[in-house]
Amino acid sequence: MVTFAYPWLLWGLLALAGPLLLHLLNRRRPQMLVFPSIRFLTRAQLPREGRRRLRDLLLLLLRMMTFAAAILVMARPSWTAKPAASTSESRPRAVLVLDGSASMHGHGAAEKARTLALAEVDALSGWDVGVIVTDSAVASSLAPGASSAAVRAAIADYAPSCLAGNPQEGLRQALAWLNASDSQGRLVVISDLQRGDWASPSAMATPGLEVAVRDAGQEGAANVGISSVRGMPLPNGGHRVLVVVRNYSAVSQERLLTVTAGNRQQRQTVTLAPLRQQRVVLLLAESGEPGGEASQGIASLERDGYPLDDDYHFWLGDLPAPRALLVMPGETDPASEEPAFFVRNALVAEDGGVPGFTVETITADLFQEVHLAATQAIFLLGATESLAPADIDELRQFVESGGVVFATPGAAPNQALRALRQAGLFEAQGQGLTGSSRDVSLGIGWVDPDCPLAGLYGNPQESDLFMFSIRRMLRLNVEPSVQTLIKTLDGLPFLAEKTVGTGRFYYFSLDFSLGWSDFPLTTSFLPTLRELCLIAVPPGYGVKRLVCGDAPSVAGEWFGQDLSAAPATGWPLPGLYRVGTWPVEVNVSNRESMTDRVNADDLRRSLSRVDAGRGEAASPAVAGGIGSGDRPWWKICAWCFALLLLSEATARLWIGNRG
Amino acid sequence: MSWTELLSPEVLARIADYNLLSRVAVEGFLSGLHRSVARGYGGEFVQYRGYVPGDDLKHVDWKLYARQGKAYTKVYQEETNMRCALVLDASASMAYRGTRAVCSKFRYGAMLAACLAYLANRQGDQVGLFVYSDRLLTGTGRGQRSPRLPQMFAELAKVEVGKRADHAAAMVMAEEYVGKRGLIVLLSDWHDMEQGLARLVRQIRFGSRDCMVCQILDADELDLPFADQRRFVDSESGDEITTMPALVRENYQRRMERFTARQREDCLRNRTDYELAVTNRNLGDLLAAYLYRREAML
Repeated sequence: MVTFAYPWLLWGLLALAGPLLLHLLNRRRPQMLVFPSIRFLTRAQLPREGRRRLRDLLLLLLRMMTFAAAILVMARPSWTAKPAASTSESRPRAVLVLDGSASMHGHGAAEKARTLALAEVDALSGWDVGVIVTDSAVASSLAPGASSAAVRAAIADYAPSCLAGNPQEGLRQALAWLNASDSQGRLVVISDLQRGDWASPSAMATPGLEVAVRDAGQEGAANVGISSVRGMPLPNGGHRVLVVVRNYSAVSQERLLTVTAGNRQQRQTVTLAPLRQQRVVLLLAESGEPGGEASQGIASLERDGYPLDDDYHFWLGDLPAPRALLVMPGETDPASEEPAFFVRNALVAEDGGVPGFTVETITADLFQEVHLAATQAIFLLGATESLAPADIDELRQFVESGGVVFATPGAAPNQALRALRQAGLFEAQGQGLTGSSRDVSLGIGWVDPDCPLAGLYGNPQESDLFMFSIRRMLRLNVEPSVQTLIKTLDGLPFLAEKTVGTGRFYYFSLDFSLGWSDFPLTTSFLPTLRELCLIAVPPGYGVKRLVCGDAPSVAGEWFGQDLSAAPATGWPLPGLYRVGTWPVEVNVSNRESMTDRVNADDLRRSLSRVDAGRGEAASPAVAGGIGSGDRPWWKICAWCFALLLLSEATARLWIGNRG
Repeated sequence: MSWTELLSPEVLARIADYNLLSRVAVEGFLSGLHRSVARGYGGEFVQYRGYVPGDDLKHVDWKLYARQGKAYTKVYQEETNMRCALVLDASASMAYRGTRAVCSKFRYGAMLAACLAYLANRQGDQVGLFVYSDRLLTGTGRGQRSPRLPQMFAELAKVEVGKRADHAAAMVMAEEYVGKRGLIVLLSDWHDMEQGLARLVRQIRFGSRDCMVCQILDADELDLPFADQRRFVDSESGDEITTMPALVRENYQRRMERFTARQREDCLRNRTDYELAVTNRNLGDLLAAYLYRREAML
């Protein structure tokens, strides 16, 4: 079936009368010429028949065809193949696409949409009517051909969801239904035309399809919503709650904000300038009952026309602790328990509101049994030489994916360093042990000012890092790929770092036992380990924030949490959920809160527009849908136009020369 | 149309080496390049005659006297200046300018006349200019002094082309000006003189005057190059004819060729130079070729 993108341009074919008229006029009114003498001229009858007439007709035909080709190029013809399985009935088809996004909850849009849909069904008596409700995908659908009662029931059942709108899939489905029949088609879109959903619809109707857009929204509606809420624990057991409130309307708004967590509640009236957001900080006192409802906070605004963004669910309870793994050389060596004792105590302690780590201790021979995805830091306490080559490979993968590994020298440090070098984790050579003597006193002398520890030890007088004595340490010779963070007074590397992938590998040149140094007893020990461990713990660790309908996979890494408990398509309703030990905050997308709307006529035109290029690109992906089987003919017409133009010029020249 | 426009330096450069010579002996008062009817003691030897008392003894051929014992006096052809009349047609047909021509036929004729006037003036001849259509538009009277070239060109510039041509009236004035002997140059397209040119030339030649006929035509008049159907309007009579040039071209060209050939024959039969001047031809080339041929014939 030949269709045109701009069928009204075909009226231009009337211009074909132009060349015809010109030919006739030229024949009737010969050009006048004042000539010196006409004595030798004789009258000649114009040839009505014969070659001259044929030549004229040829020229006329060429000109008319050139005109026609030019008009066809502009009208953009294309060939739309009829569907193979064409239905036998010839009743016209209509599909109602009902917007079921979250924004339809506001300002009575859902009720108005239902009324508009029923009115359309009344007007389309004698048509096969289908209904599609869209939110982030196709929420429900009823194919054309169902009874009028079924269509009315589908419309009566229509209720918007809490998901952000994405009408593309629904539009494609509707167009596929309409294109499946060669009878008359009509696409009716009923929506509040919220800009967030309709900013750039990519599905477009095939030529000849009638598109109508019905507005169920309200122009100039006011809306205030909560954009985000963050709760932070205070040392006194209470919480500081930061609420970001946004005014989406063009006039100032005043709202009462209430933050509730269990039996704790705070209120504050917020005045918002037009189109501005405001941060509000509320303090919640210590909860008498830890955990339970006190952990589940909800920030609420005084209700307005769109209620879904007036509530925001957030988590105030404890966050799951990051996990550290201590690897010991073996159970046979009781001396190796001492470093593990110091490290464990340093990691589990809470430091300034930062939760402590969950520490698990294993021996090197059990390394393969541990699930490293749930671990953020690994301490190889003299156990590197006890690891098998496969363990070293796994260690490397752990570091490359963002983990942090600390290693200390064990019984065979050179063997351990060789294995690390072969794995590409750490390039250094051990040059034997050294220690303090009567002449030489070992101690910390320098901290790299560019490393994360420089903030802790910027002022040497305030720290005891530089005061403890080192009795024994491994003399390390590091290569340029390794960065030394802390050096002794003699310039020997005390702590060296190598970045592998997105993670870090740290090597201390001494063991964390008192036989080697007093370092585990200093106040610098805990912050040094914690600071370096936190590199592996991203901000926001422990709580996931999603919008309704977001798949859990969009929330990034879950560090070993079992996602099978979470719905694959996300949670459809706002609230607080749990995946393993992790709390999940689910709220309505802010995109649905916007009051900006697209123009109904613009949207209709946008949906009616046929873009040949996009149609071609879309056709393989959307079988039977828009653009399926479309062949643009305008390029052929353009070639014809060029050829005809050339032929006309050649013919004119030839006839002119022949006289 | 100023005289500087009429006298193009390029054209003048081409004809600078030629003189406008009369083929017949002319009566003149001043000594010039032309043969005089008066035999006497000019520069060119003509014949011997018997000595009669009173003859200047310096013209007696003494060598002949020594051989034959009889005195003979040498007779020489006197050289004199001449009167030259340039007669230019300014009828409506001369206003035509075709697509390939650089100027109209009248303008071409005016330039021809200006060049010839300049040439004659340079060699000391008296030049008179006669421009006419249905009457004489400008002319030099018999008793008048020969006008200076700038004046002549100024007169030429004032001429308005139009109406029908009355050749005979202008010829009378030109003949009067030239007198019994002299040169009359006729510049016209001779469209309505298919029969009458022979009579006109014969009349001029009858008085032993030299005559030169220049037929000025546009290239369009010769080949009728138009493609589309045209409504031709006669420039002088106003008659109209609508025709397809492509259909009548062959016949037209044949008739036009016959016309120019007849004009040429009429002129040559009366020992008159004939030159066909086509307005898309270079004027300098035309004049140089003509003057070279004329000098060679003398």
